[in-house]
Amino acid sequence: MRRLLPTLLVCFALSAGCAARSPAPRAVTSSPSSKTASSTDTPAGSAGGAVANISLRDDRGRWVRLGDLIGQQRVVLVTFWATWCAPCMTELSRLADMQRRRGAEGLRVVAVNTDPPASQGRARSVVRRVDRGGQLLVLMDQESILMRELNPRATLPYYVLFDRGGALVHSHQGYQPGDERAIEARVGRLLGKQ
Amino acid sequence: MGANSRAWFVLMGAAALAALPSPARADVELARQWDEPLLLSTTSTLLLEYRHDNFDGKTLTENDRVLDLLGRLNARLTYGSVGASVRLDGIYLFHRGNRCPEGGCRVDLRDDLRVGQFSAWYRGAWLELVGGDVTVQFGRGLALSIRRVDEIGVDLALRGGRARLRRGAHTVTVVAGLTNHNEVDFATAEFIADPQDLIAGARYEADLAGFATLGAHYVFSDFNETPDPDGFIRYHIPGVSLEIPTLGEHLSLAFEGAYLRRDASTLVEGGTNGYALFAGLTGYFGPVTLLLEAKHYRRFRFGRNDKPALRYHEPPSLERFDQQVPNNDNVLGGRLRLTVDLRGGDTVPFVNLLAYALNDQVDESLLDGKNSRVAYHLYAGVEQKLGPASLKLSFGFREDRWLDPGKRDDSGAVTAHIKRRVFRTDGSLSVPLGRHSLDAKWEHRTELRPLFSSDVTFHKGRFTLTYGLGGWISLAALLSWDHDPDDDDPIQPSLLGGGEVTLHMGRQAMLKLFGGGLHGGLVCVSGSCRQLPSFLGARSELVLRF
Repeated sequence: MRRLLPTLLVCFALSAGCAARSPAPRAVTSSPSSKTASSTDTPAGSAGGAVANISLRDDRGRWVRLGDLIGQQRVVLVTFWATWCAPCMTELSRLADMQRRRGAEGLRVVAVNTDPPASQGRARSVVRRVDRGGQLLVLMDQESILMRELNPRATLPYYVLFDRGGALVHSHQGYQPGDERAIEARVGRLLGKQ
Repeated sequence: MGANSRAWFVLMGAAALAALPSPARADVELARQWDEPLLLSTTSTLLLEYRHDNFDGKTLTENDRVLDLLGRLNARLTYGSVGASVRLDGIYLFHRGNRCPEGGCRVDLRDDLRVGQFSAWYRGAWLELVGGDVTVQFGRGLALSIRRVDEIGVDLALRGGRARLRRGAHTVTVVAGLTNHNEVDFATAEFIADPQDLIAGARYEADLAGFATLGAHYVFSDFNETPDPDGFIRYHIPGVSLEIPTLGEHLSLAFEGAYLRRDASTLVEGGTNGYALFAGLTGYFGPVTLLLEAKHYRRFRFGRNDKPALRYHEPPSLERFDQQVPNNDNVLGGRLRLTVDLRGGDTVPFVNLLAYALNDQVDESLLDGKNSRVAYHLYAGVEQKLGPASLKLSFGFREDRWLDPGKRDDSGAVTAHIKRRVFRTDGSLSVPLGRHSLDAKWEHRTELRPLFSSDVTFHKGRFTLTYGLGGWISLAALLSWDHDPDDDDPIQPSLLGGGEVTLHMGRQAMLKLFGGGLHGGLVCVSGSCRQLPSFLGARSELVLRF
């Protein structure tokens, strides 16, 4: 047990040190709705690489490799949801609408389902209701493989945002009506960057 | 140990304070070699809690008036296809509550710091190798499901390894390890020892022309729970599954079956062998979605009755938690859910019907046993969009009847008496108010249950009102009520309330403060149920990703 503390110290020192060396935040134009959350974006490494080789089945049973989505000059929003999570349903509906409007600009919304076996069978019918146009890419993560990587607290709803280069630039827990404006402002800024 | 725990928490607190004013950061690039970054990602969770009373006894006991600091630190290092992660779990008790009663402590409260989980992996284009703590699910989980069930505070993994090979339409998964449970229970601050049951399994899956997925698997387990050093309880569970996500234009189908053979050196509850069959059919017909489910489980129990009860598989049954069959080991029945999208999806009524025969005593006959019973449930509701606002309302009724074997009515049918009757309603209302928002959620049930020689009727429920101010702060008022005369603590207030503030600081940090009280209750997820304790006290939760 005594060896744990030095390990932790090294861990914290590394993270703090690298944080100190990370580039200064680049100021970007922020919309009024985004001021409350933050007004800067800080790309930090290509986290897409961390999950790039994870493959999950979609809701039609086909394998999808995340590396084929993230870091492919697209802005990728990965949101975690479950059928029993009421705020997730509202958020998915808003994200599906955003995908429909901004997909052509390079946005890809990936909805990662985390239902337990008991409700896994409902996932497809539920998502069809909130995403009538089939805009969302629905992936099934019943083994919590992607959840452990991107959402270790396993809270729902929870989304992470990757920029066009595959860098993880934002994460957010929870959803309240109106949050979609802040999401869209962030997505818009990332879509504007090449 | 105590000093180390203190040092660790001081360090985590310092890191948290240092990270707070800085711009939000995501994964940190430590180095770059051959155009590939070495990335570090860290998530820290700190909970400072004062548990004044959990109402589990007539007086304040050893697990009341507890002041504790719970911590969890996840760190992940990745470089291209390889990576490693570690999760440190810790608890430090500033105040341990009352002395244990004569006869010993009922709960295990202790300072603890340990590596809760760790893993290292290689993920290639067609091969994945993971060593350390792994999760796994075969098919829909009927034979094997080792995963995190957060709703009941269970974080289960296999400490061993998992290999997955995928070439074309073929996927092979092999897994083996000892079951590893989170030792520090965030819900109660108690220490829970690892079960360390050996589980090994293999599964083959074939994608049939993009049309269906056919799978076959075998699971072996050797339980580490017999007091006799030479004793053993071993499980052999072969199974098959079939998934057809798109059958024609309108249907999808799932089937799973498993057989369970139990070898034991001593008498084991639940007899020796069992089986389980599950089938689910979903139909999409324009605005109508129809879900049909049938299942038959007989002596199919793969888990332990520890505290909390652990299941190493999950029944893939489509149930709400209040519809959950309390015993999913020995059951026969079905379920239907009908959903209709009206007015372009703005109005969505639904109805849910189920009927089951079950028996808690798995050695007894399902229908003619002394403890046989039937349960049926009708649940209906509507989801309504009101412009930018949304409203969800549902109402339900459930009745459980105990059969009286040997007694027949005039028509010759087995007679039954009512054991439980539940009326339930729940709903939510979400209203955006410019940049602000208002959310209301409620649930209430009125239950009739026999208590000694007479029936009792009681009420349970919860109401939450949340006001969000522009996404970075929200304020919530919570109220719960519970008149159940069967509760452990007869002087538990029937009404409890509290307030909560949630702050999203920057883009990687969240602080939640709660003060007051809330009633606990039974929470069931996929066949695993847990009685979560009531809470009266204060709690702060700080989550940081840096």
